[in-house]
Amino acid sequence: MRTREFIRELDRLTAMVTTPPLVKKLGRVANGPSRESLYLGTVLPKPSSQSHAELAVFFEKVRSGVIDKLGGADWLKKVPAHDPLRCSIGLFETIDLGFRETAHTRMLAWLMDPSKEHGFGDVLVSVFLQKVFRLKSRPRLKEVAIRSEVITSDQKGRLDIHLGGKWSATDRASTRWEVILEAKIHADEGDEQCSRYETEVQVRRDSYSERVLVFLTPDGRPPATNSINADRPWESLSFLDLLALFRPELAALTERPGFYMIRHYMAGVLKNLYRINCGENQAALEGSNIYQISDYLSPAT
Amino acid sequence: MTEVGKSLVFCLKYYPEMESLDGEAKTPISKALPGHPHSASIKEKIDRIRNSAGKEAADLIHLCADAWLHDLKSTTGMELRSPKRAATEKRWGLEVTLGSKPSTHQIGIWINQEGLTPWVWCRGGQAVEKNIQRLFGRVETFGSKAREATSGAVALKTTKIDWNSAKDFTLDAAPIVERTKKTLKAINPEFIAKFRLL
Repeated sequence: MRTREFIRELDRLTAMVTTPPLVKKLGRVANGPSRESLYLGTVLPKPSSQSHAELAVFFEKVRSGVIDKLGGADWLKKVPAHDPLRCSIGLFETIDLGFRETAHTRMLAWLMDPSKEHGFGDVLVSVFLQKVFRLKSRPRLKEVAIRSEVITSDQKGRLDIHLGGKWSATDRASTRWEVILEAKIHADEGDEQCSRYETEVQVRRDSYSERVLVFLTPDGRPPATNSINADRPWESLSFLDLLALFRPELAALTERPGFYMIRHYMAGVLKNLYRINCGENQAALEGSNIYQISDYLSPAT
Repeated sequence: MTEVGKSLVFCLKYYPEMESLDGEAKTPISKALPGHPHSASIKEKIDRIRNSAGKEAADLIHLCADAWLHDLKSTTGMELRSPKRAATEKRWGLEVTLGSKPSTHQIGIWINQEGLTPWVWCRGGQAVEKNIQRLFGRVETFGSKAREATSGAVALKTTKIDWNSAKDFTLDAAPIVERTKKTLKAINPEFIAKFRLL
């Protein structure tokens, strides 16, 4: 999976280099064969040991640049002790549900629902709405209703999470809003699944004036079965984006009843979906995927 | 000493970087390193290493699996349809189909950052996984929701490999092969006979 931080660090290193024009030109034309062709008969010379060593130096340089950005040699000590990154126990892996979509969507629906017992109020749902509706500030929520596994009008599908309610903002007085969230972990989309959900929102003709459809996956990919001409484009979001969104709010929630629930849930997502070795062992963390850790700790705005 | 190929060790040690620069991914090297004075040579190195790693992954898998598959075939008399080697190189995994078409039962091995994992798969989705796990009895197994796997797949214990510990990308293959062969013993003729009835 592509990591934003890796590419950012490459860009930074690249910007530091003064490129001779001739090499620049060569760099552009040197596209080479695709990976597919490499495996279907194209014979490439075996790499020399020197190639491994040289490329390792290059990658280590990129890695150390990211570690510097995180805070240097002891970067983990600068991460708050309550952070899920420092928690080695994932909520769902203890019961073998680490990859079960409904477990994740039900948990997310519960965490974002202000009426539940966690004591978080509307903190998480408001940062989520700000993100998916691309609002300048957090909406002031008047009503929120969150349901998971909602059966569609044609009885053929289930919306993973439906969020609906009303907000007031200086420029959006008492607006009724709706979010439909579809999550995928490993499974592919069903036949025309996303375009059917687009139809669903048109058929119901509810009085929501703001609406967004969210496609949540580990790699933040766009849906494949949406309608190209849909009025409502899908917002693609990765689970890591979502964790990075919730993370800054955790410091204010540590005393709330549901804090350990979200801490262990987030640790589980990092561990299961991103293979990050959460816990107090900095070397183990760096050995998993330092770029994704950086995407989680310092997301791009 | 039989070694795990250096390129395979390299790819798994620098997995995030290699994955981010994968030609099939969103960021081919030419885009990730626009105008970098070394972009052409870096790309060439990456292509060679990736290409070589696929071959080395297939080598390692065949070291673990060839004798096991041979025994299964001779004992059960069953047709085992192995993929072309190029497919194993591309996937870093071996998928062997039991019997003739249609493909309803498969066995195999995959390699990833954790190590080598033998697995079995049967058509029927998650519902069938519990039945497969029951057939394995007391052998440690993981369903698709506990591991990153297709539904219907049950994984056996992974032979864990610490790719980061390999100095100069050198790793002795013998203990890895030995441990994987030991795990593969659970996929034996008795198991296959019951498994095919699912």
